[in-house]
This record gives sequence, C-alpha cells and structure tokens, in this order.
Amino acid sequence: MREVIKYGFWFVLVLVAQVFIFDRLVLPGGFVISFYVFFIMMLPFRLNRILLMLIAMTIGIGVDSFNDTFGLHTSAAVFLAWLRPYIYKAFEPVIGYGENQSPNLAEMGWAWTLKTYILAILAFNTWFYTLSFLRLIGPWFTVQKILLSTLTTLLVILVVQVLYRRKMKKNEL
Amino acid sequence: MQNVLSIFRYLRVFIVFLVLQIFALYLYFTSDVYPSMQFVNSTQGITSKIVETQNFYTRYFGLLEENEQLQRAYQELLTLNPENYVRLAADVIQIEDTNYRQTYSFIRGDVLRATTHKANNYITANIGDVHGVKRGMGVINHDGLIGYVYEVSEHYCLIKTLLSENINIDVSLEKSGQFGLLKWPGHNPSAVGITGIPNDTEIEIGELVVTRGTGGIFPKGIAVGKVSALDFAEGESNWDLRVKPSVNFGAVKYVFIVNHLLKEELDTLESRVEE
Repeated sequence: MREVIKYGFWFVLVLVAQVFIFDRLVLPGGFVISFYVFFIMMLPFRLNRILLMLIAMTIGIGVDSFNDTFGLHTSAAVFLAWLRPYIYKAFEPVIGYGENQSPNLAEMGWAWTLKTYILAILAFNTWFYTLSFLRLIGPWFTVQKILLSTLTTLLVILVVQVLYRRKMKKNEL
Repeated sequence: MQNVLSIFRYLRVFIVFLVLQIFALYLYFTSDVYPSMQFVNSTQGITSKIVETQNFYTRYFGLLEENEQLQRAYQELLTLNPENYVRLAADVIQIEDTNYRQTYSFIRGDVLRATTHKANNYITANIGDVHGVKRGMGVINHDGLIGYVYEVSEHYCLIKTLLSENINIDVSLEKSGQFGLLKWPGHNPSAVGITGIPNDTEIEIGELVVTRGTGGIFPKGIAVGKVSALDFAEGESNWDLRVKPSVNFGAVKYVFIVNHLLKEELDTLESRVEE
C-alpha cells in the first residue's frame, strides 16, 4: 500500500512536470524533453508486464490530452513499457536483481543506469518522432530530432536522479 | 485445445501490447478524419479547466505584447476613419444604399494554449458551442490568417493552425491574383509553402499572399504572409514558394472566429453543381 501511494505521488509529479514545464520548453531544433519516460523506467522490476503497459497508457493519455496529440504519446509510452523488460533482462547482473531493488541510479549505479536509460529513451524517441514527423520532414531531420531529444532527456532525468539520490543518502545518515 | 491455451498464455503480453497499440494508433491516425472521436484533447473535461486556470495566471506576462497588438490594430482603424480623408471628387453623389448585406460576423476569443514545434500544431481558445462556434469555421486575428476550427466542446474550441500537415488552404498572390494551395513543410514555424503557382507568374520577394475567399470559410483578402523565398520546383512547371506567415504563432493572444452568415445558402448552391 505504501508503494502504491509512493508511485501515485510520483505519477502526478512527473505528469505535472511534463505538461507544465517540459512541454512548454521548446528547445531550438523544435523538440521537447520527454521527461515522463522516467516514470515508466522507475517502476519496480517485479511489476506485472501487462500492468506496466496499462500504467504507461494512463500517463500517455494524460500527456496526450494536454498536448492535443491524439494517442501519439500513448502509443510511444505503451511501446516503451512493452520493451522495458527486455532491456532490463539484457543488462541483468549475474546474481540477478534483488528483491527490494528498484531501477534507479541510487540503487543500480552509473554504468547500469546509463546503458539501460540511453537505450530506452532512444527507443522511445525513435518511435515517437518517426510516427509524428517522418511523413512531414523526412528521415534526416527526424533523426536529428531523435538524437537531440534523447540527449537532453537523458541529461534531465540523470540530474533529477542525482538530486534524488543525495536526498536519499541524507535520510539514511 | 491445451496447446492453443498455452500459446495464448505465452503470447498474452504481446497480445495486450498489440491491442493497446492498435487503440492508440487508431486514435492518432484517424484524428484527421473523425475529430468527434477524439475524447482526449484540451477542450474536454478537467483538462480544459486546468489549461484555463493556468492561462489565467500566466497571461499577465503577455499583457505588454497584447497591448501593443491592440494599439497597432487601433492605429490601422484610425487611418480608415472617413474624417481623415479629403474628398477629391466633389461631384460624386453618395447614396445611403441597402444593396449591401453583412456576410461575415466575428466571434472573439482568448488563446489558452498554442504550440509551434509539433507536426500538427493546435490552438486552444476559450470560446465554444455556446458562443456559436462550429466545426470548420475559419480563424483569423488582426495580423492575418490562423487556421480553422477543428473541434468544439461546450465552452472551448480547438483550432488547427497553418502549421499542420494537410492544411491545404486556398490562397492567392495579391498582385497577380494567381492562386495556389497552402501547405506546411514541417521544419520551421516561420515558413509555410505554396504549391500550384505556375513559374511563368511574376513574383517578387516580399509580395503579399492573401486568402482567396472560396468556400465561404475566410473572407477574401485576409493576409496570409509575405513571400520570403522563391525557387523552381524540381520536375514541375511550378514555383516552389516559401511564405513567412503574418501571424507569429508562438505569441497569439486572441483570435476571431469567422462566421459566414450566408454559408448555408452558398453550400446548397455549390452542392447542386457537384450532383
């Protein structure tokens, strides 16, 4: 129950941050930071895969409804939720994931976080920008948007995680 | 039977994935065709309330700009005042005539939200069904052409701007009257394209492009933008035109919805030709 409340809180926080901060912050090159990828990535390892997709769909619809993108974010979010277990499986440590471990920087360390998050964000952005922009502006500009958005999104998510890790360490002391 | 069940169990995650994906992509790809199916957009339910509340607090940051826009509009109206004109031909007789009838009325609304970076850019405005806004009506403001109404809820409407795929609006060059079709190439919010203008037409950089006024959606002669670049279209006998829109879509504060008062009459007349 405590877990549900904790992740419910994160859900609202991430959605509000995405809709009111990151979606308004259009960067040169015409792309935005898909910060809410973080929420899909941080849910517990042992979460049921179908439940994960449904949660991703919910946050996708939330972002869609504020952006008038009619299912675009929903589609990309569901895709990432479907892909996530494969990425985590590929980078699973030899001893496996611990019972109480969560997929974030504080618990998994830099190497693991960088590898999995880069792959996930890249996959998400590829799906998203191919669907929305490929027809309109062609492959070259689409790839440009994908790479720029992946880089900035990764940066923002890492900064948030570093800040969060500090806070967690303080609480432990 | 056992086998079928086990295959299904093995594939159930993928099947759920497919179902959800088809649902989302169906919404996305039909958004051009059936706008009424789109229950998730910023004119509906709690989303519209949140967007409006947010706009209430943030709009004060744009007041200076809004004020300047209004002053500019007032300045232009002032120059149109008949008292500012000297009568040149004294022998012209003026007649109070009843030959004119108003064909367009305008509904004013505030912009709650506008984007320029997506493949389809929309504006949410705080006027809706109760104010007389209907789907498909044209939208302009003092600077020029904005787009058309895409979806209406009770108190809000969603406007598809020129910065959208398949916008296809009839426009014409002000000087030569040659007409073409407005399209958006997608990269740049300050460059739209026009296709279908034959390359034997003389065009100057900076020439004004206006609406053609067909179909009764926009009045004739509303500014669309100025020609900013000119090139030969490859393999065609047409110009490849780039136009800088008169409206700065990132800073639109208010809109006017164009209501054609004789639209029904026009439509019935035109439908007779098609049959």
